[in-house]
Order: sequence, then C-alpha cells, then structure tokens
Amino acid sequence: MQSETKAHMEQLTSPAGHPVTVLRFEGDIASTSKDAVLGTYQALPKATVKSVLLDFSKVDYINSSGIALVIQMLIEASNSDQKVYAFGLSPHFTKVFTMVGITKYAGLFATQAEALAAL
Amino acid sequence: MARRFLLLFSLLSGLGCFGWAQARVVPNKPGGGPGDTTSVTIGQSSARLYGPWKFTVGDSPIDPVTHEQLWAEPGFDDSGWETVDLTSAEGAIDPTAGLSGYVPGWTAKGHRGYWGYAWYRIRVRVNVKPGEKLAVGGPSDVDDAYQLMANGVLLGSFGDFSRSRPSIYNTRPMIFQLPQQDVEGPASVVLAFRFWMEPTTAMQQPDAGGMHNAPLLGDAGTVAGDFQSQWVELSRAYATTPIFAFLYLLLALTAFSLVFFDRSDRVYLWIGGVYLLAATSSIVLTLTVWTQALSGEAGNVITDILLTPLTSAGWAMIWWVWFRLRRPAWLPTAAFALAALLALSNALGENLWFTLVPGPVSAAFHVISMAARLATLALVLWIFIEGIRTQGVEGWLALPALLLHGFSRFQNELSILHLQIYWFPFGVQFGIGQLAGLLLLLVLVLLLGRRLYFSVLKQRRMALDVKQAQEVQQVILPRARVSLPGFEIESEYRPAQEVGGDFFQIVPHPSNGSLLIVAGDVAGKGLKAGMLVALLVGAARTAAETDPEPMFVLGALNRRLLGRGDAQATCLALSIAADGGVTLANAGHMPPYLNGQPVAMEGALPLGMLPGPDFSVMHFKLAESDRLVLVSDGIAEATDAEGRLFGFERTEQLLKAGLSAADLAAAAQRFGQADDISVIAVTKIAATLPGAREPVPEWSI
Repeated sequence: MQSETKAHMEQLTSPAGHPVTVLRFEGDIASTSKDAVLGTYQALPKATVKSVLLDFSKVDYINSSGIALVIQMLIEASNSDQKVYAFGLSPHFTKVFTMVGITKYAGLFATQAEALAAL
Repeated sequence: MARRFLLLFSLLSGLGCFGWAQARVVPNKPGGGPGDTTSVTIGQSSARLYGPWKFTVGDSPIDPVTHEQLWAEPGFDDSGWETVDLTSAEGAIDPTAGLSGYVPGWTAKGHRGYWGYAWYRIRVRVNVKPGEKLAVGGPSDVDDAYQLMANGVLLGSFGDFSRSRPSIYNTRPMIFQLPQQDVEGPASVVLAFRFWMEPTTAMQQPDAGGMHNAPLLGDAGTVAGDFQSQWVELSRAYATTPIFAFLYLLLALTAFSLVFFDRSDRVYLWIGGVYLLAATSSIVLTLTVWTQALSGEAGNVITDILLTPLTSAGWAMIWWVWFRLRRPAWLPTAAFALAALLALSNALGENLWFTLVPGPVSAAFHVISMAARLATLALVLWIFIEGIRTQGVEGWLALPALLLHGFSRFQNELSILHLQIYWFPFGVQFGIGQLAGLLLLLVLVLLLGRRLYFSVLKQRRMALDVKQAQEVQQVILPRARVSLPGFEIESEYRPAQEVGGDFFQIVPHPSNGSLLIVAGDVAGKGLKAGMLVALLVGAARTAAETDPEPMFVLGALNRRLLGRGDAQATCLALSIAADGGVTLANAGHMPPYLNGQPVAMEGALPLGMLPGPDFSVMHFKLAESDRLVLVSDGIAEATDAEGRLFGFERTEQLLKAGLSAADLAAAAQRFGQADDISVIAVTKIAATLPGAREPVPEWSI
C-alpha cells in the first residue's frame, strides 16, 4: 500500500554562511506525488533561493514515476542556477539515482551535515 | 370568592357524570335459579377533568411561610385567573401526532407566541372508600413539561425540573398516585399543574402551549388501563419512524456496498452517507418519542443543528456527483457554507439557547434559516436543470420527488400556517416529509439500478479493452526462447498488472548477422504505460530499419516521448555484432550483467526528459559462452511483506549462480512483485557452420 507523500520546508544556514532551503519528504514518492514534490519546489522563490537540500531520510520508496518527478525538479533547478544536494537516500536508491543520471544535477550525501558542508 | 368547580366523585355509584368507566360484574348467587336477580357492582371508575380549569401564564412566587410554590397551595385564591375548558371538539386530533381529544394550547387562546411557565388549577371533590386508591392520569398530549401537585404536595413531574431550565421530552402518558390519607372519605383535592414550554415548541407547532387533552382522575387500576391505551395510541402514531430508520439504514448499506462494484463512482459514498444521516435522524426521533434516553433539547440539537444541515448539503452533493458536474467549482463549498449557515440560524432562530439571544434576534435568525433552506433548494434545482440539460431522463425522473423533498423542508412553517402536512391513516402518522422521503427513496433505487447497470456494462467493455491490449502486448513481445546464428536468447516478461510498462525488442540485422536489442521501462504501470510501450516498440522498430545504431535508436525514441506530458521511460539499446562486439547506449536503465557482474557505466537521464540528453555509451566484446543479462528494475525492487527489497546484491548473486531468465523472474515474483518484471539473457554461442541450416526466427522484421 502506497503511503502519501508529505513535504515540508525549512530554512537553514550552511557552515559557510549561505542560506539553504531544505525540502523534507516523507512517505512514498510516486506519480501521485506531483504536488508534494514539484509543487513544493515550484513554490520556492527562484530569485532568492539559490541552495536547496532535498531530505529523503524519511522516504520509504521511490518508483520510476517518482524518480521522473525528482529529475524534472532538478532540471528546473539547473535552469534556474540553483545548487541542489540530496541526502538520506538508502544505498539502493543512491544506486538508482546514480543510474538515472541524477548525480549530474545534484550531489548525493549520506547525511544533512555532509550535504551542508559541501554547499 | 373564586368560582369553584366541584366534582362529586363516587367510586361506588360511577353514574352519569364520568367520561370513561370500567365495570366489573359480580354475580351474588352462584348457580341461582330462575327469578334470581344478578347484582352488578360498578366500580373502578375514572373521570376526565375537562374543567373548568383556572389558568395563568407566569410562574408562582414562593410562599414566605411554607417556602413552597404559592399557586400550588389549596387555599390560594385563583379567582382572578382565566378559565379554560379542555373539552375537545368532536373528532379533534393533534395535527402532528394524531392523538385524540385534542384542544388547542394557550398560544391559540390569547397568549400567542408565549413560551415559559404557566399554571393550571382545578378543585375536585372526591369520596373514596377506605382501601381504595386514586391516581391521576397526566394529560398525554402536552407542551412540554409539567409538575403535578395535589393540595400543594408534589406528586411527580413529566420532564426534569431539577435544573433552572427544565429538560423536556416528547409527550407521553403519565400516572401519578394520590396519597391515600389526603382523599379518604369525602374530601376536596386541588390539583395544580405547573407547565414549562420551550421557545422552540412555540415556533414549530401550531396552537402550542400546555395541555392538549384533559387529565384523568379515578381509581388507580382504571387510570392504569387508560394509561396503557394512551401508550398504544402514541406507539401507533409513531409506528413509521423505526420502519423508516430501517429502510434508510438498508439503503445506506446498499449504497456503501455498491462502492465495491464501482470504486470510481463517488456518488455511492454520498448516497450512503446521506441515508446514514437520515437513518440516524429517524433513530433519534424514535428514541425521543418512545424513550427518555434523549431529551427534547438533545433531539432538537442533534436533528436541527447537525443532521438536517448536513443532509441538505449532502443531497446537493449527491446530485452534483450524480450528474458529474464540474462547473462552477465553488458549488460544493457553497452547499456546505449554506449548511453551516443553516446550522447557526437553526440554533439561534429556534432559540435553542434562549438565554443567549433576545427574541427579536432569534426571529431574525429564523428568517435567515428559511433563506438558507430556500438557497439550498435553489442550488439543488440549478444542479438539476444542468443535469437535465446534460443527462435528460434521469433528471426528469427525480425532479418531482426532489421538489416534494425540498417543500418538506419547510414543514414547520407550513404547520404554523395550519396547512395539513400530516395524515393519520389507521391512526399512524404519515407526513409530507415521510412521503417525500419514500418517493425519493423509490426514485433513487430505480436510478441506482440503472446507473449500476450502465456502470457494470462500461466496466466490462473496459476489461475487454484491457484484455485486447494485453493480447496485443503479447504479440509485440518476442517469444520466450529463440536461437539466432551465434546467439541463444531467453526472455521472461511478467507485468505487475494486466498490461505492463516494460518492453523489449530483439531485431536481427537482415544481412550482417548483428543483433539489436532494445529494452526499456515506461514510468508508471497499467493501460497508460502499455499504450506508451506500443508507441515505443513501433518507434524502435522503425528507427532500427533506418539505422540500427543504439545511439540513433535512443535519440529517435527520445524524440517520440518529448512533449507528451509525463511520458518518460528508461531505455537501453545494444547492438551485438556477429563477432561479439557490443555497443551499448543507456538512458537511465539498469546496466546489464555480464556473466553475473553489473557492467559499470555512467548514469544518464531517461527518455522524454530533455531534447538532447547525453546517453551513456560503452563498447566491449562478448566471448563464446559469455552471458549478457538485461533486467528491469522490477527485479531489484520486488518488495516482501515486511517492506524489504529484493535488491541489487541478491540479483547479482542469483545471476552469478547461472539462474535462467524465467527462474530469476520467478524468484523476484515470489519475493513480492511490485513492478513489471522483464529479463532478457543473451548467450554467445559458436556460430553455425557454413552450409548448415539456420533457424528462421518467426518474429524477425
């Protein structure tokens, strides 16, 4: 049974002093997660938000449609000159993200601290 | 000196002036012969106390000496009070409950709109033999609650007078025993009734206020007999309420169960929900009429503030969903906003909490309540007009029932205007609301049957479409096991649903002995994914005819998917030359396994994401007996009941162990299939000797 995707936003500051917007996702990410994934991201003001962290640590499952949504988000971010890092992925989905070329658009990290330090 | 009514009441004579009597026949000489006379003792009599009663509105002051209610005391001078007669007109019945012996209450006798306390007093002379017991049968039709006192002593009450605002209950028969010492021998008894009526009652019923039939005084056994017959009359009057509760509950359950036949149609949920509310309303009415489990105020709050507004909005939603309307999008919100307004205006307009708002404000809210009901009716009518415009026959069929149902929402106002809204065939109450409810129920059953029939028909057609799509997909996929010069190929395809989103094609070159394999996975599952598969398979084969080079094929497929909304697919294309040389191009698909080891290659975006993506490419050579296995993510992402993944490591281990394509697919499926599964295994074998007969693949282009 697929669980609903939840997303909420948080503002942090990186160790280098940059403002960072964190999008924390929960549940499963699938075709029904369009509003939670793309909608939440598209609500961010592109003029001011330049660094985005994606938190997948509470995501249980991402199917092919969910991965397509993440890629769409990353392509939009790339077109808006935003830097995007992701963390909290299981080894399985880290491998899947690498296969589908997500690493060309977003750095993948194990923890939030590592991702923040890289910004 | 007050004018007193003296009723000579004799338990022995029982003659002439009594309204109701029971007789007991006692033969004085058992077995007596001809000429003997039989003496008859007439006893256990009772009399209706029609009056004249003394009456006043307001409440009694407390006697400073006795600290009791002054107006209950036998010596109180009530000569200045009004005189009331409770004798009913021939055949008069209560317009709401149908109870016999009805007389209009105080609002029809000079106290229009009055609610609150009022008193009735009567003086009765009785002559009781020692040992005989007297009782008073309280009036069985009252508004709303009362206390009964005899010679200043409280005998009992109907309703709860322990709070500052008495609790009321639906009218019902009551019995009060008279203290024997007060009435033995010739005695004078002053009966005083202290009444309380809610403001709601004055607004909901015509001629409300106080006693609507006369109390009974007499022998305790006789009064008990009358009590029972009054209960029979009351039970008969409200006999339909539990029947309607049962009918509504049955329809609610039926509607909910229809959801299992057609989950896509939300109308069944709305119908089930509204009829559950209707059943609850009938159950509340049954409880308030026949028991004291619910007080009148609680019944009013549950019905008028909660159930009625929700039901109104629910009906609007039923027809909105029924006619599949989408515009204006604000209409459902408007329906529930009107329901909220109706709840608020009912609460304040019916003056359920009369201590909160003054009378004029309450009257204004009653007008708002009517406006809210009219607006809801107008909203539903508008939905119907749209429904008739788009659906025709269904709308016309339900319209009369709907109009009657809407009309019945104003039954209190109609009742106040003395319009007949209740009929009493065989003493059973049957109102305009019940008639509308029954008519609507019949129409809805008819319409539901019709809708379900067409829904099942549509589902069968759709199932046939899916079945045909499945057959087409089986045709366009290669056979499970084929041999080509230099190659042994086995494949396995197990869609998660009837139609899958995985695809693969094996296209041998007609002349140079090379082989093109295209394998992919469309995002999503089911018929939509299956249709994209058909598109991609056609595109792949067309591209291969032009140029079987993997990068060219992927580029062609990417162009086919671009701009088609959320149509994306991972895809891998590889060509294997006759000498074993492999060119592999990948668009986000799982890399193949060479002899059980995953081929290390760079990741790349799936098809359909960007106009000119960088597909990853690599070259290597297959030696004789090398085995190249292409798998979809349905293998690694098979998930067991505990949510564990089949995973890449397990896939690798099984492939190293030399598992066939079918066995690997079966292992993942047993583990817990979550997505489409496809496995293609290509083994390089020794080329066929020149002159030997080559197998002709049936699926070749």
